Amino acid sequence: MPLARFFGCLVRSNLELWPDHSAPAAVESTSEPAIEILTMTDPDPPPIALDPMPRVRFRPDVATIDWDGIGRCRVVDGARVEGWRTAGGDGGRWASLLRAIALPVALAQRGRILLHGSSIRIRGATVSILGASRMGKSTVAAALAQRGHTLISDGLTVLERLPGDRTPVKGFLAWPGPASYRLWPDAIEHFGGEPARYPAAVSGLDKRAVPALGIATGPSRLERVYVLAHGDTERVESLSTVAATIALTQHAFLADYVTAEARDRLLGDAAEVGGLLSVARLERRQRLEHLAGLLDCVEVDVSAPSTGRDQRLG
Amino acid sequence: MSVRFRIPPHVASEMLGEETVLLDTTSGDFFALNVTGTRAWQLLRDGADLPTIAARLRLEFEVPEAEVTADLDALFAELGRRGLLEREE
Repeated sequence: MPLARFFGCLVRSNLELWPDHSAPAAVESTSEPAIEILTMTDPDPPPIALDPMPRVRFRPDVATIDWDGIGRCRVVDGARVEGWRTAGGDGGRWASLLRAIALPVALAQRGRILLHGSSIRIRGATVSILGASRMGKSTVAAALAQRGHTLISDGLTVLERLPGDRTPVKGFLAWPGPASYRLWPDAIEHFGGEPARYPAAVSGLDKRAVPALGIATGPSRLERVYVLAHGDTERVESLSTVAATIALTQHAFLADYVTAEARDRLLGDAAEVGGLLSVARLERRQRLEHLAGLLDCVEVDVSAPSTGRDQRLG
Repeated sequence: MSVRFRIPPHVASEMLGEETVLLDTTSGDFFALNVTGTRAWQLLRDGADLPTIAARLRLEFEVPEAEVTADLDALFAELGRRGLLEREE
């Protein structure tokens, strides 16, 4: 079975998970994989809840994921994903469930913090750009990369805590993801491409998996977080620790999927990140003709000295 | 009879410096507490009843009794209305 490196973790799967272009680099390794995905043939899955979208019951030891009509997974100790596909269910969505939810759940069980957004290194500073669906996270990341900045990951940001000398955590490392963007057709056309050339990134959506020409080769320390929001112009507005924590909880990668019992964990993770890093609201006009102004805005802000929370709070 | 409140299990909280964020994990709604609200929340979490919380806030923030009582009544009523606090009978 092929091995791939996914946000720093070696993954082995008995199912092809990634569409063309978007697969993480296959690796040859003699070491054991950190996470193993096994699609079970045993037709004896536990009962599936009637959820219109994936529902994650998260626990650090055993998490379960149900998607009505698609399948069910059990994720154990951040090391093993067992999956039962529903007979007749959409194969593309099944692969999406495994790679886009089960694998991140395994990473969360391994203590990683997951944010719904893209990360990119701009002039030596790594920043994350978060936002709701259709806010343009991938488009902004791709446009910044086109200006020569280095992509870390698109769509999912995976953070590892850096232990401090006198504090539990002194910062966060952002790990590189697969070398691809998930772009809507209008964004691909904006960059001069032809949408039809690229495979669907997610089954049932018109988003396309577009290869990234370059990507970071290793993790780097996250310095700032931007949260995309609608506005009348392009501007950056710093958020208070409270506002930052709320925004980061809302934009936790699993926020839309986890059941209520797990949401306190998302709040705790958000408080850690919001308490240490600069978090700002990044307002934008949605039309692509304003994209260049938005990128200018980010580049200028990144060049300004950081006011990390650790300094502010002493 | 002393009035006691309890924090329902579906409410998560995080203290951030002198402020606190409350999250209703069922609805996904947030609520932020200022410095005095945070102190009241801490005391409440430690099991203090309403008169004890009022007395401590009066002492620590040097605020007149009537003002503390009115503020606490308003805060707890708002938290109760939002399902972030329950009154114990």
